[in-house]
Amino acid sequence: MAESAVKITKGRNTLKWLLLFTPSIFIAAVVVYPFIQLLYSNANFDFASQITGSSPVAQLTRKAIQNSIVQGAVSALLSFVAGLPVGLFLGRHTFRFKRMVNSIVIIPFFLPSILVVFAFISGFGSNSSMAHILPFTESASSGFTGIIAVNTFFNAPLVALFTMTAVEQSDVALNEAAMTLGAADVRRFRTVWGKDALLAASGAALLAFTYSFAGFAAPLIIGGPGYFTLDAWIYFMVKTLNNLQAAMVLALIEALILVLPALSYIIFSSRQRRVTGSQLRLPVQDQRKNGYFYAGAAYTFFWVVVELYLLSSVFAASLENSSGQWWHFANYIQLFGGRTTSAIGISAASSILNTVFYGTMTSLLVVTLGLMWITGRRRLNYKNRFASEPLQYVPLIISSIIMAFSVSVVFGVITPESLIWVLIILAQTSVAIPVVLRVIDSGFSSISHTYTEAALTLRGNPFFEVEMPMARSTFASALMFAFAISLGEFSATNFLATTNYVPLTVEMYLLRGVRLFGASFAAASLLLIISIVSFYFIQRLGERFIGFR
Amino acid sequence: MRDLLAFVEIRNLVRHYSGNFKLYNISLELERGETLTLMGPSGSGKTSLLRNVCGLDIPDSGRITVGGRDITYLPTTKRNIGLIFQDLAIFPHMKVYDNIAYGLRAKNVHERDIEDRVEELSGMLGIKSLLERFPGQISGGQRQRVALARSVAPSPSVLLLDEPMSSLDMQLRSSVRSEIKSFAKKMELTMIYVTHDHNEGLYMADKTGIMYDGSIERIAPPQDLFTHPGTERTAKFFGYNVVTADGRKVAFYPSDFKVAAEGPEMSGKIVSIGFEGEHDRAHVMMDSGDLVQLEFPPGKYIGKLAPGDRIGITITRTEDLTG
Repeated sequence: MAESAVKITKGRNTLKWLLLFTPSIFIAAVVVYPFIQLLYSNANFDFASQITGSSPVAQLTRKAIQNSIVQGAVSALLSFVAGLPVGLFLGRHTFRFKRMVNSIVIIPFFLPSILVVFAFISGFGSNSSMAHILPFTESASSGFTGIIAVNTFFNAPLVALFTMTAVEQSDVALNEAAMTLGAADVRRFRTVWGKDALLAASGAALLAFTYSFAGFAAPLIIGGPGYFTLDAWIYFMVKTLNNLQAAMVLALIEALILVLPALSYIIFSSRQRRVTGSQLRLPVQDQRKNGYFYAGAAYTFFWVVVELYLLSSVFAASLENSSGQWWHFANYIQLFGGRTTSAIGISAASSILNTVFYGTMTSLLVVTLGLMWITGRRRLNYKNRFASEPLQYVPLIISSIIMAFSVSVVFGVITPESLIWVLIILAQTSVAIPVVLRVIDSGFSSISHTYTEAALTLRGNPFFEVEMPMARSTFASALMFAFAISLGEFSATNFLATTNYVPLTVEMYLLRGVRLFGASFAAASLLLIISIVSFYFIQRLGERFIGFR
Repeated sequence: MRDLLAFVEIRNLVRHYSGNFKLYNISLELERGETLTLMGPSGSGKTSLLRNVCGLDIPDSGRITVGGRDITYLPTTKRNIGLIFQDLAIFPHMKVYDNIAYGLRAKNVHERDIEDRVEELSGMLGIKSLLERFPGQISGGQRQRVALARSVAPSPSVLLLDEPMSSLDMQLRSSVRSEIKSFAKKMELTMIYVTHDHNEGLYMADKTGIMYDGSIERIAPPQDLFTHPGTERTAKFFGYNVVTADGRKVAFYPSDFKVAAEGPEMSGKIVSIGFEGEHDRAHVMMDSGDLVQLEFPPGKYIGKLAPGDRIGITITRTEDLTG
């Protein structure tokens, strides 16, 4: 009796361990295994000579490494510098319409990267009114400066968001203690709340480095070969030159280099203080309208104006016909017309449907994985993050393009063309896991374990009756986050998608390739509308979730 | 009352936790309708023991039976044991009614019977008017009653209470503990009540157990345990002074002494003295090196004794200590 009871208990625990590691198993199967398999099956490549040799490929490899590092470092630095003041201002001060300003500031990070590239082309390109008024701004639409501008615009909101959250959640009691001990503004910033903010901003800058290092859309569309990153060259090597071995060396180099920032990011995020109940009673906010306030307000206002200008320029470009006349819907008519369909092989309606389908499937899959993981962790009360979570961060090291490359080589041969959509969803899910699981984690961590245990002692179902209702906003936010990531994922999707499975992001790129610029801006506008609507829901539900806490 | 309350027996329970902490060789018995209070300092294992009894933790060895049924390895949901948590854990997204009905619904009790049961319990505990409110809209004492009603509603064999009054102020605590005790007697509940407040523990108990370092040192009737603490740490836990006299350790209560002007049994120097309302309290460093507390009649020595003064005392009642 006792022995069988012990077996049952162990069986129940095995299931919980399985739940805990499900996302890691997923990443191992979809990302790690194909990558290792790819390396193993091509083990005869000459790694050293492709880096140090004098062949054209070796020179190109060195240039790609240099481009990736330089673009990653400069973009991370500028994102930190540009985003930190906005985050400090929004986290520290209260004012009317703050919620709306928060939303506008954060929007670019939730936009598809290719859309941001299109925004810079339309906003600062040679035909833009801005380039006519201030000619020097044209450099933000092409070449190295264009890439850096796009990366900074894309990642600075992430730095602002991380900083703002850290300031809002910093320890109120410590701040008040410092005030009673006579610490002035600068000292309190240095010793109390500023440390949290700088730590968070540094974490975000590391992510900015990772994203910019593995930048794809900007170097591909506005950079040109001279500014191609490792990711862009991998794509080019496989798709155009069919040089798999050289691509694999680039993939390995990229993964090895990205280990360091990814590890640093995990360490940074683990060092950030967990918010407890008492710390949530009031944010550390400054009611005074002093010099810091006006300087922060002026800078944030400038940032908001630039954002609104860039986003509206996409709409403007979509409404401008080839003769330069505005308020024409010719581009939209062209987008949905037969010429476009015959040029790229898929209708705009189908690519919109594909976009929504991928978004829906990806969000369902990634949130299911996240809920399984969090349930396992809560039931086991498992706290060792370094044992259970590192694999979840692998998609930060193995970039989307390498993932798509590996998946297409290893699984592509056994996947019929009609099932390519499955590979796209798997790749998008892998990309979404590191972000969506953090959203789920932060939501569920605010639910005390005693609620779960109370439900157990009362014979109830803690997951469906207690945790899910209490975390319903987190659940919805996670779904929306995953949807937004799927919407914006361009690299892997562009690599994997065949004609019938192209979503809007890839369609925009293809339309540009066949020089249907007006139609490509019309597609970009539609994607922008879908992105803003989904972002609006994330914000609404996210706010409800925080309010609930 | 229905015949649902059972006899509890724990035999040689052992459970290892991380950080070298373990529950070690725990054995206890509890008759139906009795209340056992478990006391002890923080970290002594009181909550861990409750978690093993209700199945939130599973012991490494040993046996737990309730009403003759071995529940050692049963999942929590099948033990029929109620638990009131330190933070009460009332579901914030449910109304008071739904909180109380929760355990009955989980047992698939007919909704009509649930209504009757909720009505009965809320009436007994004086929370009938709160049934349509959310937990965030009621006071701390009312939440306490909701937690009690919720745990009792499914008629558990045993009710475990884990420091349920730690979040209440002193005055409310006193009235709520009185309510819980009379409610428990009326409902013939079998309870294990964990607290580190010895006044509360003694008041609630039919039997009292004292725990240190993951083991139960002793279980005895409350009066017996208090008047004969037996060991130095138990004596100190109950507020006794422990001093060395004639080469042996003895305990005396802060009020069990007389000021002796001549030929005192012990003497020492006053460290601090102050008025506490019911009495004056002085901390005295005895010549033996023991720091003791002494309670004087209120106002009698304030102004006459000051820190640094010497004082001689004769102890009127001592308790020999063994360990």
